[in-house]
Amino acid sequence: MFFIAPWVIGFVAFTAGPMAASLYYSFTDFNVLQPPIWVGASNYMHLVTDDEYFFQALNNTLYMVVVGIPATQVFAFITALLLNVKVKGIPAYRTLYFLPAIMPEVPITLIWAWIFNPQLGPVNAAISALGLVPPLWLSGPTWAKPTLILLGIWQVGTTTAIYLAGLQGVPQEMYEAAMIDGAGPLARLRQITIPLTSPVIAFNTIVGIIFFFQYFTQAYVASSTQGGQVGGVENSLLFYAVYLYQNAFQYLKMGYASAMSWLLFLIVMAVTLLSLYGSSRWVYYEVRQR
Amino acid sequence: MSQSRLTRRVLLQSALLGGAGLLLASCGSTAQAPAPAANAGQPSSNAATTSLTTASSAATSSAAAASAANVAGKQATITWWMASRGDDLLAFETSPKVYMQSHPGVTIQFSGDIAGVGGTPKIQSAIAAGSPPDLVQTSDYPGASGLYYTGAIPPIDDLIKASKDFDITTLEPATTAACKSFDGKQWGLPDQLYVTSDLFYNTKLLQDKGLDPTKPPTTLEELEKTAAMFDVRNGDQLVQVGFHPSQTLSPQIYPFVFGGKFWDADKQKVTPNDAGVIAGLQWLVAYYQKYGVDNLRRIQGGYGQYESAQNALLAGKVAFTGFWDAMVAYRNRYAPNVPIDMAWFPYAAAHPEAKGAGTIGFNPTFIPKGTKQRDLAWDILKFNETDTDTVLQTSILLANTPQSVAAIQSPAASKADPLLKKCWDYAARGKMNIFPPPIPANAQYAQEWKTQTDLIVGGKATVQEGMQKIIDVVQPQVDKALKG
Repeated sequence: MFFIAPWVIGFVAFTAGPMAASLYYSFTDFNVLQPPIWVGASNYMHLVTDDEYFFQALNNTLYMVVVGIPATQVFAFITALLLNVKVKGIPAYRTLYFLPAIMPEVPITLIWAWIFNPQLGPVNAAISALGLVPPLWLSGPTWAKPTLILLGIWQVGTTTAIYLAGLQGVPQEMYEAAMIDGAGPLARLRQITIPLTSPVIAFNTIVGIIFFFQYFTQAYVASSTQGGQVGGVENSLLFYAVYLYQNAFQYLKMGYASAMSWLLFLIVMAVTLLSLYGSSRWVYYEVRQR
Repeated sequence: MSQSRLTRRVLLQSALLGGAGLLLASCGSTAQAPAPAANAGQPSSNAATTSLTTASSAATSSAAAASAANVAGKQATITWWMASRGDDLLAFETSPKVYMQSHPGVTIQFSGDIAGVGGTPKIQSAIAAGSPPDLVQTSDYPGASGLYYTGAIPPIDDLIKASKDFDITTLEPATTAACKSFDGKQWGLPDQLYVTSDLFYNTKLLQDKGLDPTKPPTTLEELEKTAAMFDVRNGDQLVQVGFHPSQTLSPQIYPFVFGGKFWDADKQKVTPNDAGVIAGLQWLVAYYQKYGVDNLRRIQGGYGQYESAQNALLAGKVAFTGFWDAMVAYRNRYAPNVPIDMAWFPYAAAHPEAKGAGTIGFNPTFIPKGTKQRDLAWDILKFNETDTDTVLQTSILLANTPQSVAAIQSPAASKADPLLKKCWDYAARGKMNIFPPPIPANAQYAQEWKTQTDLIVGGKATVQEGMQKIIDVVQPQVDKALKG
């Protein structure tokens, strides 16, 4: 007990304690500066019955989950496949692909906003040069979220590294045996690579779900480039965590924000459990439980 | 492997959880956080149209002579959190530094880490933790107002009343009234103002088109017609507009120049459905529809950093722009060869009573709850507000407007850039408005206003629908606070 005391103290002080406090505050009308007033479940009731922005924020967040996860996971997997090939200079390529993942999010988002500037950015200049009508990207509601998904795709270095580790764990004998049996590259990918890396895919997917449900920094910074309006153009970037922040620190409704955070916890927990349950149907574990 | 089954234990646990949930739901009440009590007898201040009047009494003189007895000779350190950094922070330190010279025992420590909306949580945390600074100057007016309504800022009416050497009427009235609650309690004072609806224009561009730069547009209709002369198209694509209605202007200017009001102090109702507000928004919508929403958004996205030589007006991308006083400094610093001039923002021709309407911003400054040196903080704040020389000096350094009327009218004001003096004249003689009004939930009013005008301009909601949505969101919160 003595040896784990530092961890226990830290856990209680910085994790369990604040969680318990926020659970209590979620049942109160609390603005931090005055004592909380017990209101029961009315924060939760208001969220799910009266608050239109709650559903809009949830909708925007679900968009990122449903579109962003497949996009980032597929791109990361394909990149890992390419980085798993033994060619000259592969360490340099791996470093280059990993670099965006370690860059600070705030300046990168600001730079991204300029790259995708609808009037002056190089992307739209290239699109215009092809004779196409370039989109507004962050300056319009339709393309704002896809722009951030593109940013997420660019920053998949960490996910790619995990996939790479998984790919390198696939036994080479499997491929050799398959090649002897006449399996082509696509067949080997479908029948060997993907099944044997399915635990890694499941892990990355679940981590990605949790990440996109808590999506905040890039959305908040990107909104600031559009006239400083939190939530972006026509609330297209009003994600759950952004709306939570707004309630907590702009409207000083900490009790309401605490209720939002617990609701998010339950949603993420439910989705994670569902994913874990569903993963037993398609994830292949070499070591099976009896 | 054991199979899961519904055991008595599981059943009891589920029942316990369900019962706890029901208990919590039944405990829901309409209890509200305490709010400042309404003072029914006192007319509420409506921080809408006001005009600056000539000071009836002279501003305080140098602090050496005016120091209150209870702070004279004091040895103390005051912490002052400011909403600026770098050179701007140095400029704001002008007045406090002079105070320190005349009060050798007093040290004022400045910190510039609370700029913008992100600073309000820091202030909130410090007050909640019981270790607030002694003075706070913030650029987040709705945030500061919200702090007052949560009890984080005690009113200073007692200090004002006790200070015979301080006359609050010598300060700009609209911004001073904005630092007053709906029930008449003064919680702060404005520190350095900036008119946000100055109409700056490029005189050379006007001359090149054969226009007289000494006769800029005076009505919105004239502005629209004149600005259209500077639109640029590349084939079918619009690449430049002579005037962009949202380049740096906030949309509330348009309701004000149509004579609109956002708050009815007598009925204590938010009024975004006021006829003038509706008319202003309809004008804005029509402007967007004329040029195309996507076109204007695309062009707006291409405007450069405003505090640089890429500023749209300085770079020649617009002929007219609604901007704040600091354009004078930006021109002098980044593009001294660009000839610009300034005019009052045009009013709607059908509303001549709105001539001179404008919007003004400011930095609310207050003494937070929990400070242990309230008297000294007040003495410093008083000096900062009214010492003519230092107020002027700060305004000139920042290209702001002085909060003190006496400073604007003093002979020393002639040292200011003539263009800056025009901005001061607009502040002094125009009809300045503050948005959002000084009511509870005004942070939400401001955010809801931005969201709805965005949707309206984008064609996703009608003006009436958007304004009703604002009422639906904001009025209940105002009512809740008014009930106390």
